[in-house]
Amino acid sequence: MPRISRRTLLGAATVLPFAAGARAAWQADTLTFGLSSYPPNLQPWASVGTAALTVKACLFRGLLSFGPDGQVRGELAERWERDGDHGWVFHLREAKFHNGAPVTADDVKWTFEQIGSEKGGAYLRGQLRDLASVEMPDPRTVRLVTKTPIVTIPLILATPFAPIIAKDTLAAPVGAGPYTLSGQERGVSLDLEAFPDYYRPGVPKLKRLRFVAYADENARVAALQAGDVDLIEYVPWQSMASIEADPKLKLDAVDGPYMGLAFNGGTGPFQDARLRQAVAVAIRREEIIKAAFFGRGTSLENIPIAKVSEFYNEQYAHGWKYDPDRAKKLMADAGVGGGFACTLLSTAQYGMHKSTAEIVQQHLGEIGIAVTLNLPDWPTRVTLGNRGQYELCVQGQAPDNNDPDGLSAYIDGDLPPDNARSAHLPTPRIHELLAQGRAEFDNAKRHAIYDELQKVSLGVVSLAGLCWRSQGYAMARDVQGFANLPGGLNFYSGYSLEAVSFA
Amino acid sequence: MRWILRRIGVSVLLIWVVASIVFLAIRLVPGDPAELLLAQGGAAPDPDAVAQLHQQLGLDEPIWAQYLGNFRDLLHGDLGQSLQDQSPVADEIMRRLPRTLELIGAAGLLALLLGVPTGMAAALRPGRALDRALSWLAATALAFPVFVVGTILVLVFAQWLRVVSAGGYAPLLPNPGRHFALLAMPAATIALGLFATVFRMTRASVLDVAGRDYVRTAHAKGLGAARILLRHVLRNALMPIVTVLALNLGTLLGGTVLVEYVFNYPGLSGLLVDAVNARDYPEVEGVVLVISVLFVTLNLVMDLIYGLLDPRVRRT
Amino acid sequence: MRVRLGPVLAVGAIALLTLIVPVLPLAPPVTMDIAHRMAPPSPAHWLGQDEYGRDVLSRLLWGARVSLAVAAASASIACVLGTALGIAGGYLGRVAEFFAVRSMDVVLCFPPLLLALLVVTLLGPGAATLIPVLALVYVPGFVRVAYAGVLTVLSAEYVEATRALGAGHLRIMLRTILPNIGGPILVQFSLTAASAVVLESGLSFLGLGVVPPAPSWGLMIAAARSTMTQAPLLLLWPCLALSLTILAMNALCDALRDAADPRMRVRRVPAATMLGNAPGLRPEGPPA
Repeated sequence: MPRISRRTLLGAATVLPFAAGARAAWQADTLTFGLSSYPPNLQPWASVGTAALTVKACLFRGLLSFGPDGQVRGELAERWERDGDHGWVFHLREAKFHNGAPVTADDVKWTFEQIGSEKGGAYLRGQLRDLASVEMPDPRTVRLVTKTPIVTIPLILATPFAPIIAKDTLAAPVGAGPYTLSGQERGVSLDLEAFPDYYRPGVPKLKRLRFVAYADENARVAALQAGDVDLIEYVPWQSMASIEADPKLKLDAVDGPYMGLAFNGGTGPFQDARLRQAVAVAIRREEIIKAAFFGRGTSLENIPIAKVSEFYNEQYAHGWKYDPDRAKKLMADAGVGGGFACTLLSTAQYGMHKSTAEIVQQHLGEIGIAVTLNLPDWPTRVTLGNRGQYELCVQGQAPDNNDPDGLSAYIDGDLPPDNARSAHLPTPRIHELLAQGRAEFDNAKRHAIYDELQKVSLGVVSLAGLCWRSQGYAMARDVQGFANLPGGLNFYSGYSLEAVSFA
Repeated sequence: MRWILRRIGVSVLLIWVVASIVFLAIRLVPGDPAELLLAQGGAAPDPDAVAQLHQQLGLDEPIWAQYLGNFRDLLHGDLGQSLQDQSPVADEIMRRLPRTLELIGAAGLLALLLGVPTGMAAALRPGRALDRALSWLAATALAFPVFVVGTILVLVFAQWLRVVSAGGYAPLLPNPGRHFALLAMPAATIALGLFATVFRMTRASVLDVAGRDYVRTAHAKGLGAARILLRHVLRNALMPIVTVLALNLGTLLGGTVLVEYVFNYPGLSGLLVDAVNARDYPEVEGVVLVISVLFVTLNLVMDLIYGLLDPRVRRT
Repeated sequence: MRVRLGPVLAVGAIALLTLIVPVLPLAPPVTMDIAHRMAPPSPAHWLGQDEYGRDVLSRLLWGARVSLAVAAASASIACVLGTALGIAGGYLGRVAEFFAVRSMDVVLCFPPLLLALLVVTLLGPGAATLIPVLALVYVPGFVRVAYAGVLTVLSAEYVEATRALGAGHLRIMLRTILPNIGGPILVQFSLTAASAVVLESGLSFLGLGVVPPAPSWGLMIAAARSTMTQAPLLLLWPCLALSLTILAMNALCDALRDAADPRMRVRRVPAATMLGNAPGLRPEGPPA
């Protein structure tokens, strides 16, 4: 039993008023955010996890971003337009970096050079490999010239992976976002302070942001319920109902990332597309949603194109509907009617990955596929995934954006080996279609291309979609202005922190 | 005197062996730190980028060169830099170590304050109702895993009753109240298991001492029970209790992982797990080194004290 | 050696139950029934269903087999290795002694979780990896007990006598020393087994333990923890099973310790009569 000393009571007394709901004056200008992990570093262009993205969205800004409605909006670029098929022109607004220097075209050009550099490890290096040059017609205008037409440039640049950094500040990157980093304790917390010369008027609304890392999901929820934090990310699915029922809290949940299965097309049973199809149609997706995500999610029976997307095609959307007889027939056609064995790679470290794996194992067992689970820790899982050392593996990803092109990295087998997609599985037709869609400015033609893509994917199965999962942010009831972006944009929701305030 | 030097020499050898084993083991485990750093987003990194990072981090040198380099740095007191963000490992350890020590110390204190009186009470009437009830309580305390106890405490005291915070850490200043409030529950969770050990040790020790001749003599001399208890029994019984407790606390240095996780308490164990997860070689080596140095020093001190008191112990 | 009957029966009953599980009419422990997940106890499922709809009672009993088997196996290996090392070190002296004691110190320097983390990451998770890891963690305990025991026994005269009679080292170690330290070793074994069950649950909590869908108490507790508010019973059953088992094992351990300790027997009569009715100072023997 904990001994309640006078000091403890004193400490408790400072906590109780907040538990009761009133917000003290000194607290009203600070939002405490519960992260699900601690950002390993704050490299502006690297992809080091979702916690880092949230923090970086506050510290750095690029030419564009996503607004609360999920649409692209201008940041350091106040206007932008197409310039022929191979050019994009951005008009920079008057803005300052955190060190007081003005944001100029020079900085933009330098930034793109860093992103494209071989040693930088920038996430967008692959997607921007067709960027030929960056021209600077004047100090406040930038023209991006591409080798092939790239329709999705605005979408790519609106992600938090292309922030504009002050030239030559690589060692200690200086950004132009609404907040500056005022302090951090490695592994525990980060303190951000509002940047007074931020270019958008009226924001940031709160003077201070404090990010605290809670690796254990139960501790994270407990902190919110106890009033230690005002807003948390990655709400565990089992807690969503109790948060909704709590009058002092509110839940903002939206279908964001998806769960799927990737295959090894080079060795093992899944070289045969029929067996990949058999796996895709042998899963009762509703059960995964129910068991792993407590009912918070939606079935996904093709590649992850969201229902609200204009490119969603009802005709192909249910191509992998549960059909055990079809699965067995496919297996018979492939010559393994009696069943076969395989291994499934996932991880024990994340509940949703583990649960998905267990249920997939059960369902595949019912049609005669004996699955052995391989559940190492996350780093080993990543390593094995990068090397393609698996036969079947569970994927939990979010598309890069809500355009079908945002799926490229996850379904295109012709790209170099990657943890995020199937291994050794060439997909020439898919690759071709994606390249066409990326370069096609005519919307009607894009629709046709992506319809074809969805149809082809059903046969190739380079990614077997299982379900969308609901990604939740939970907050105190008086927190307003936060926007939980849907689909592939979910991890960029940190953009709206500048507009958060207390009622 | 020679014996003392021998013991110290052995301790240094021990630490060197442990450090070497960790150096090798962490490199044998699958998972490359550069690759992991660059693969965080789920994307496999460019092999060139990985090679670049290897060079930057000094991972491309042959193993023996890295080993000697580490050794040389160590002699200068340099624990190296974290592979993740190049911050000095020693700084991070020095920030976390006092917290874990404080946690362990508080737990030990609680266990002592709870265990000794109850152990004595049980020993005074062994076999009676109180003894059986307390012994049963101690046995139960050992039966619940630490993370279950921790979760229940958080549920009851932080969520339902709202008496204390759910977790985390606050420095001693400027708010000592909050500091101790956040220390209380994790310390209590650890203390529960320790209490059982202290209780049993006290009970056994007091029983042992109470049966000794000098106690009977004291009673025969007509001294009051309380006086006998406190001055003769307790004082002699205390030594083994404190020894066992100290050794237990020593093993806790790296063992508070689950408690720190459940209470979000940023201590040394958590740092170690994070470092292993990121395959941050210098950090893993640094933390294990510090833990083993502390542990070995603790044992050394214990051995020296016992050795000075009882020459029969000086065999090794 | 007279041991109290109660704890022996309790532990024996648990062990027996674990052995006959395969022949009991239980629901299969891995079959999911997601439509009825977290259902409360019913006639078909006496203890309810877990987060995947699997039968809790069945998983509890099958899990007992796994958890106890892992604990028993690792404790046994640790016992054999540790005792051998401790006896060799204590008896043979010099280099052997140095090696035995110091190598155990090396092991003790490693936080158990780090040890488990490294080994499991190297060899992959599963019961086959768990057993050696746990054994390694517990070997030092046995070495210390055996070593201390040997030192005590060595000073006794019958060892000198046996040696004078010309008995070889091995014979002395096996025939003379081993039986005399049997008591403390047995006590240590039961302590270790109990501790191993708890450690296994901790490792499973971190995902380093038994691989699903195989049930184990550790896995059940870890899983039930996340649904604690919705289905508290799911957490209760494995915790109850765990604590009852450990209680029984600890009781056995105490009984063994009491039976093995010569001083307990001696103190029974004299102290009581010597101290008379002094309030608060009546060290009677253990309950009959």
